This record gives sequence, structure tokens and C-alpha cells, in this order.
Amino acid sequence: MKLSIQVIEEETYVSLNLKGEIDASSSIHVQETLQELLENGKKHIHVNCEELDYISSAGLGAFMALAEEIQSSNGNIVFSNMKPKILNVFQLLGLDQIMNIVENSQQVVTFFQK
Amino acid sequence: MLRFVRKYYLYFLPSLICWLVLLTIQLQQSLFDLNKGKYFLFIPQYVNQILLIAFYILSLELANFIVKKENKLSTVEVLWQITAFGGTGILISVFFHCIQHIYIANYSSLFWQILDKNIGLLVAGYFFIALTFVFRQLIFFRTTKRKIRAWNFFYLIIVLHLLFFVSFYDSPWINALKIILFIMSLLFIFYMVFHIEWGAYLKVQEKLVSIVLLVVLCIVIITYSSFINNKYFNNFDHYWEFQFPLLPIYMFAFLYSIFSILVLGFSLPTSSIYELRELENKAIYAINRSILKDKLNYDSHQHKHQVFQILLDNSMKCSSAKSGFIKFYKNNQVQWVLTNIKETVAQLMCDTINRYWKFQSNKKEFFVGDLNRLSLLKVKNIQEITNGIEYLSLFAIHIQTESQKYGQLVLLWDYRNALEIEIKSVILMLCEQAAIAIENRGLFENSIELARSQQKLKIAKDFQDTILSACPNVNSFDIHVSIQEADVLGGDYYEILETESTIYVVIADVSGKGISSAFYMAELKGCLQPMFALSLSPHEFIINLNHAITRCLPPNHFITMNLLMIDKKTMEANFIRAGHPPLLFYEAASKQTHILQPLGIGLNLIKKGLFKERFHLHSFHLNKGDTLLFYTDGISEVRNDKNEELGNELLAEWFGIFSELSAAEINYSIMEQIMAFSNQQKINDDYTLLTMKVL
Repeated sequence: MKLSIQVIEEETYVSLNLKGEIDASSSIHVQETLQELLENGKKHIHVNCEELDYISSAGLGAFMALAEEIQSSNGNIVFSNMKPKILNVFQLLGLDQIMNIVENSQQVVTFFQK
Repeated sequence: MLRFVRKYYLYFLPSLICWLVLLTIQLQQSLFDLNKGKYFLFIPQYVNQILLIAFYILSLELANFIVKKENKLSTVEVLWQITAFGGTGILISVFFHCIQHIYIANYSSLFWQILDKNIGLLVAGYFFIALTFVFRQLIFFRTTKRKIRAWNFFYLIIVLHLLFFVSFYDSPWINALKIILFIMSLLFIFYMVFHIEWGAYLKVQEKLVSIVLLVVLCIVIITYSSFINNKYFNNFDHYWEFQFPLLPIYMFAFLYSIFSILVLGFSLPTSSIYELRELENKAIYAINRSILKDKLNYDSHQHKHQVFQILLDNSMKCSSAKSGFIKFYKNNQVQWVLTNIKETVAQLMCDTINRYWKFQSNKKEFFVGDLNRLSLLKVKNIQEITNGIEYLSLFAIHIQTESQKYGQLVLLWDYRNALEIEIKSVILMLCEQAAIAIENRGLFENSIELARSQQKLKIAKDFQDTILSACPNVNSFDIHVSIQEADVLGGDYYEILETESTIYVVIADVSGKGISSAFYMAELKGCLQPMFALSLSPHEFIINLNHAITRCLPPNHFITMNLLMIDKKTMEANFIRAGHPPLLFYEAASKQTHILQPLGIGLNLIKKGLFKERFHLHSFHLNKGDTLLFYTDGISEVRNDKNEELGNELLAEWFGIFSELSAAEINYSIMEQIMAFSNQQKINDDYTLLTMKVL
């Protein structure tokens, strides 16, 4: 299954709706999209994982590479609506310790209001 | 269309008028015979002759004009046409001949005889002339300059032959000239019958049909001539009216039919068509051979140049083109292969052709038979730079495969309608072969490059094998490791190292796959080695390792790792997990399997401020029979047909079942289970399975 990325500009942040699977090849698209957002000055990014079915280590690497850059430019990246399988990958790797993960989209709004 | 009709009648009407006048004169002459020598109007004999010759010449011109205008038909269609024409002629003649016998009365009999004679004259004239010009189409199946000249000369001889038959030129000199002309016409006839080329291109069925039609045609010709001969040769003195003026045409039609039958029936090597086939084969052989010639001593551009040179030489040879060139590109720079043409002229031609291509975007090739008629392709003042050569025909074709264009071939002739369909198909095939040869050469180079890369990969693989130390013998432990790379190179790493006091067991996985992972794995090995000697605590070990790793790895790569340190004296084990899948621990005493997944984070995920608190240390005691299973995510993420992951729980369950076995047996049994679960013969990911059993 291929990955589709939908970018939606909200009032205070940008939502990235991911659908499908992120493997080594599709991780490049994720990285490119994030890079483009950063270059356009979008620092507050919400990654909606509601329809994300799988993420490989290369896919996680794509987020890691830019998460640091986002945070160093006083931005924020938040993941939401993760399926248990995806959350498990994040937890196993220890990413839940350093990344902002919320349960649903409502919490995303609250997160960025803070 | 109107112009065509007007021109058509320009020839047809006068020829018909000539015939009608001739008919009238002969009728009134017959009436004179009946009226006992009293003419209504005296008409000298030569008027008759002039009218007859005028009729023939006008008919010739008419046929010439029609043939030039007509669309080209296939060979068999041409033969059908002419046989049908001849057959109709015979029927008309027979019809009038019969009528003549029905009316027995003297007066009417003579009238019908005259009419019959003239109808025969008309049909015979048109039949043989039409036959000749239809055969012309077959002769020009392959047009060459020499053939055009030969035909024009033959035509001239026919006309002269006709002119010299007007009787007031009757003298021994004229008679000698007639004989010379007849012999010359025979020579041209033989030249043409020996160049029958169309026969070689026919299919078996077409050949049979053609033979039948030609036989019918021969019968028609023989019957016709004997029919007319018998009727008039005996009755009239002026037999020449029927046979002699058209003798060259008659001979030509008859001989051409006979030779065609022989050529088709016995496949006689009469023509240069076999030379053409040979040329074609040789060219293809040369093009194909160029791929391997001198192996790779010269680069692909030189190869392309060589292929194009072969292509141009052979295309020109088989098409008798006056000039030709191929335009192609090397690193976006225009390159030329030129024969008998200057670069400036070729460039000028190309600019003009490009204008034409724009209207023919889907076409691969085009031919223009008369450049003067196509103003779009008219190059102004070109003769000033071509040393007076006037190009009249042009053929342009892209040299390309389905995926890529390699160049453009252009052939030029100084006469019209130079390219015949069969030659065109040969050139098309040569161009295709050339494009394939160039593409194959590229593939050949790629395959050599690939072989080199594989050789390099093999070196890297050998190197990686030396990095992964062989499973060591550690006192009081039974250890077995199974490892596999999805690619030639993998990102899984393990190390079992025994120091004086401690046994270190490390299993790690670098994110991603392939060469990059393998390199970072080598970096990990480099970072780990000095740390084993430092007797660090598990926390110190992992924090220092992360610090070292962040300097080596780019931000989009990370490493997950399990580190187990066993005190040899006390058998106390300290376990730290850096984002790696859990460690499975089978406790022999309680016969329970524990999934050890303390808090931890992957290496290189945090560059600064990695605190001790990020890692929870899990300590436990090892007793005899206790077994540990280390693995990478290649094992736990195996999926079945329903796309369900194996997961740690099911793996732990199997491990619990097999844990009484030896380390090697545990590995094999688990692998068997995994294969059954995934319903596959092989796991398509890097994986490592490391089992340690306390003896």
C-alpha cells in the first residue's frame, strides 16, 4: 500500500494526515514534506496518524531528523490518533519519552493553545 | 480534379478523333471499292498513316499521364487490372468479329469488316499501351536513376519507331534505321526483364496468383496478335497498321510476361534484389558486431558514431541516395555523420525538416517524393552551396527505441520518387537495429558496471563478516546465533565478549537497510570496542556509547540495542534496553518466560541531555538451565498471510515451549515455527536470533 500525505493548514498549526504505510522509500516523501513546511516557516506541526498502518525504522528516522530542527527553532511537532500498533513502535523505541504524543485531535488543539 | 479531367481529355479526345477520322476514311475507301473505283473524296495513303501514328502517340501520352497520376497498387492488383483489361479487349474484338459473320451481304459484310478492323485497332492500341505502362509500375518497383533513364530512352524509341512508319519515308536507309531502332528497343526490353524485382517480395499465394494471371495474359497476347494477324494480314497489304508500329510494345509485353513467369516459377536470380537482401544481412551483422567489437576499449559515444556510420553507408548503398547524414547529440552538442554533403547544408536541411516534424509529431519517418512541390520543405538558394546539386526526394527517420531517441537519419536524392516501399522497409529495419544496438551497448556497459559493483559489494560483505565475530565459546554457557541479511549487507549486529570479570552480550540493529546500515554498523563496532575495556556501569556504558554514536550517525539514522552484562562470579545479570525489542528470559526454576522490556530509548535519538533516568536497569540472577533469547525486529515483525505481526508474546510462548532444548535446537525450532507462521520459505528482512543457555 502506498503512502498518501495530506497537508491541511489550521489556524495556528499545520496538520499532516498520513494514510498508508511509511517504509524506506515513502519516508523520503515524509521528510521532503516536513522540510518544505519548515522552509516555509511552519514550525507547529501536527502529524495525524489516524490512518497510518505501518511505520518502519527508516520512517521513524525521517521524523527524528526534523524533530530536532523543529524544536531548536522553537517549534513543536505533535503526533495524534495513533493506532496501538504504531504507538507500540514509538514506545518500544522510547520515542514516547521525547516526542509529544496525544490521543485525539481535540487534544492537539489544546496542545498548541498552551 | 478539374485540371486532371481537362488534361485527361486533352489526350483522350484527340486520340478518339484520330481514330474516328481514320474509321471514316477507311469506310469511304471501302465504299469506293464497291462503287467500282470512284472515290467520293481522294485521301492519300500517308494521311491514314499519319492519323494512325498520331492515334498511337496520343494514346501513349494518355497512358503515360494516367499511370503517373494513379495511386500505387499492389503487384497482384496491377496484374488483375491488366488481365481484366486484356480479357475485355478480346471479348470486344470477338463480339465484332462475330457480328461480321452474321451479316453476310456484301455491302454490310465489308462495312463490318472495316468496323471490326478499326475496333481491333483501337482495342489493340489501348491494350498494349496500357499493358506497357502498367508493367512500368512493376519495373519501377525499385526506382533507380539508371532505370528511369533506360525507361525514358525506351519510350523515345517507341515514339521514333512509330514516326518512321509513315510510308513516305520509305527508303533503304529508313528501313535500316527501323531495324536498328527495333534492335535497340530489344536491348532495353532485355535490360528491363532482367531486372524483375517485385517477384522476390511476393508471398507464396500471391506468387501462384501472379503466375496464373501472367499465363492468362500471355494467352491473351498470343491470341490477340494471331487473331488480328489471321484476319488482316492475309486480306490487306498494309499489315503494318496493326503489328509493326507497335512491335516494340508487343515484344516488351510478351517477353516481360514470359520472363516474369520464369522468375516466379523457378525463383531465378535475375535481379539485384538478392544483393539487397545480402546487403541488409551484412549491415545488420556489422551493427550487431559493433556491440562487442574491441569490448570496451572505446566509449559509448565512439560506438554510437561507428553504428551510425555503418547505418548511413548501408542505407545509402541500398537506396542509391545521392547524399545522406545522421544528426545526433553528445552531451547536448550536435554531432554529424555526413556523406557527400557539407555540414552547413545538412544543418540547413535539418532546420527545414524540423519545421515539418512539428506537423508530424506522432510520425517516426516521412518521405517526400518531390521537394519542389512541398514549399514547406523548399530550401531557398540551396543550390548555391550544394555545388549545383538539386535535391528532389527526401527521406527522414528518427533512430529510436521505444524508450529513447538516438538521432535522425536523412537521405537525399537528385531525382523524384526515389524511395520504394521495400527499400524503405529495409532502412526502417536498419534504423531499428542501430537503435537496439546502441541501447544494448548501454545495457552491456551497465551490466559490466553492475558486475563491478557486485564485486565491491562482495568485498564489503567479506569485511562485514569479519566484523561479526564468530560465536565464541563462553564457559558455562551454551550459545547459538542465527543471522541473515535481507540484502547483501545488513544492519544487524551482535557481539559476545568475555573479559576477566564480565560477559558482555550486545545485540543491535541500525535503522534502514543495505549499505548505509552496514557502514553505521561498522561505526558502532568501532565505538563499542574501547568501551568494553573500561569496566563501566551499564548506565555509563550506554550514555557514553550514545555520545560517541551521535558524532558518527546522521540525524535520520538511529540504533536500537540490548546490552546484557553478566558478572562471571556472582552470575548477576544487568540488562539495559536502548529502544530494542525486549529480551526473553526463561527461568528454569519457575518454568516461566519473562518478557524483559525496561524503559529505554534508541541511540542517536537524543544528542544532548540524555539522562540516566531515560534507561531503567533490569537486574536478575542467572541459574543453571535459565535461557535468554535476544532477537532483532526482523523476527518479531514477521507477518502472516493476514498481515498480522508475530509479536513478542507469541515468540515468548514458543520460546517457553522449546527452552528445555539446546541453544541450537531452540533456534532451529523457533525458525521452523516462524516459517510456518509466515507461510514462507525465507524471511525478507535482516534478522538475528541469539540464544544463551546457562549450563
